[in-house]
Amino acid sequence: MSDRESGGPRTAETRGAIRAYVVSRFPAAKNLDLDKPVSLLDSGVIDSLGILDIVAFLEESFGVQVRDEDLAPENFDTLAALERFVEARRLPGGK
Amino acid sequence: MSGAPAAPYLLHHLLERTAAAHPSKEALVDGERRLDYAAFREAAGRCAASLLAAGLAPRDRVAIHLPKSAEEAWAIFGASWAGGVFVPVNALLRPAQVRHIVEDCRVRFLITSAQRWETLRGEVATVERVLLVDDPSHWPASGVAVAPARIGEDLAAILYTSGSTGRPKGVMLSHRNLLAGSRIVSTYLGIRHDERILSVLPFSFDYGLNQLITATEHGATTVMLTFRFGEEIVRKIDAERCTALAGVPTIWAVLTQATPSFRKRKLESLRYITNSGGAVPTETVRQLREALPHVQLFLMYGLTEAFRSTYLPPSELDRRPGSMGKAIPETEIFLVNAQGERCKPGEAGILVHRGPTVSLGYWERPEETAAVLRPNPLIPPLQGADVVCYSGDLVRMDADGYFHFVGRNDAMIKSSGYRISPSEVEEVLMKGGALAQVAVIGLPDPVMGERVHAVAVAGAGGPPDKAELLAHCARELPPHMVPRDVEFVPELPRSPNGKVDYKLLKAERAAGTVKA
Repeated sequence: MSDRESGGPRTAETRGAIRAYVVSRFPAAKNLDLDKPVSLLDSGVIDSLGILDIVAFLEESFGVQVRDEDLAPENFDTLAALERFVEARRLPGGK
Repeated sequence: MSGAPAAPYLLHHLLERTAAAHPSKEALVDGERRLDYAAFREAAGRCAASLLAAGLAPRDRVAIHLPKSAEEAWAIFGASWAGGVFVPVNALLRPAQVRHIVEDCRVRFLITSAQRWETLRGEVATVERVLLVDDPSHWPASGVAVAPARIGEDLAAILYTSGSTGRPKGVMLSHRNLLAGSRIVSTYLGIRHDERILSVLPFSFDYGLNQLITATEHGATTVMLTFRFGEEIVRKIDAERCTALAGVPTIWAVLTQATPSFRKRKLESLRYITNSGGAVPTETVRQLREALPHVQLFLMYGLTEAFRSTYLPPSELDRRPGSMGKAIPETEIFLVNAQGERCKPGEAGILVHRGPTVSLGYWERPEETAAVLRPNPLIPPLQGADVVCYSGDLVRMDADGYFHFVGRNDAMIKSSGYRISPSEVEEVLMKGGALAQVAVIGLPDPVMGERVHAVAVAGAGGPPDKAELLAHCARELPPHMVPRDVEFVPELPRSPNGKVDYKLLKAERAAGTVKA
């Protein structure tokens, strides 16, 4: 893993919080190896209704705004994708 | 091919007739693939030929376990054409539930994909022959020459659905039932040849299946979509110029609450949308009408045992908010009280359905069938009493003959359009270990109608890890059946006769007396 991917302390915190939320809200996630880039959507862990809850979680916990065009599989499919999305939105000018 | 009779009476006659009249009309849109009616008929004919060559005899059950796809559509018509009985199996079901269906109605033939067969192989040993849609060697080059003679009363399909207890039961539908459902819905929705119907509901659900049949009857186009984001629905409607969309309450919640573009895009091509599988909250109805002022909204009610009972004409939406509407064409709906008499206006009673969509009952379940399909209580037996369907739903009628849902008379849960039997979920929870007892109930939910909630008594070892227990459920059950939460209590309340008091469990939590 490169330095950039492993990120700083804030990234690790974000990653931990997202993971904890996904596992508690979607118990089926426990059946996946979340350390691998496994698809949360294709595996059926997160369905169209679950997206609603994740959006609310991201907005509340990280203060990011989820825009129309963000509602796409590439931002929600894996834990890493969710984390990347949050980090990108937190950058100056990212909102 | 023999060609369809002037007045179709078998399901595949609809396809034969439309394909003869409009061979190059677009029939199925499945992602990038497009089949016209000639190709749809050709594929269904090859499927029928393959089943017959494999030894299918009339009335043999053919399970179809596929994601929503052109293959699923032609397999349905192909099984009918071969004289078989098609059994659509929801693509979301886990192997254990698939096995239940396959064993319950003794499926002889299974049509699925190579990938799905890999996960099922060890589970469904009783199937005689498996036909893989992605293996060209399983399908002949040409279609069926002579189809076996069948009549409208013959069994066409078995749709599995849950009740208040036990495993899912197979509702038996005749060709006549399916054709009546298509004709009736086409009448009140005014379905036309130029309709482009967006199909997001599974074909294992009578509501979703009916869309495919009505489209085929009228030479309209079925646009198939498996979606994860509301955005995908909006984009598909625009890209394919869809005129119709059928949904359950969850879909409207996703569109109005989690799909910003739904309000921004005009969706000009849409002519009507329909809801069934649970009531839509009044606020969601308001938002749908605001977002789609040019679209007709039909609120409907039905149960698989009689397909569809009522619909509310769009013109009545403002006058009768919250109403289930009135009887569908060709059908009489009445309410009976505990004494078995017809209810007076305003009096709540069980909804009873009589008409051509009353099913043939549950496959090999005489007692459960007898409880639901009974002689018409309002006509003397020797004076032409027909068989009617008792819904189990408590309903009242207003002075103008419009119906209003009051409640359910048993413990059945309805969530995201699915009927869920508490006992099926309880069985899986108990297998998860470490529980002394558990009761599963449905709690009111603004998005899902009801959400699945488990109330458990821990075993001797104390409460198990909740996340582990729910993860176990997610392995054993399709997503809509997995409880949203497990609540631990010292003991479950009992009714005077010693049974778990589901009504009390539900009422305490719905009223907030007990925090769920």
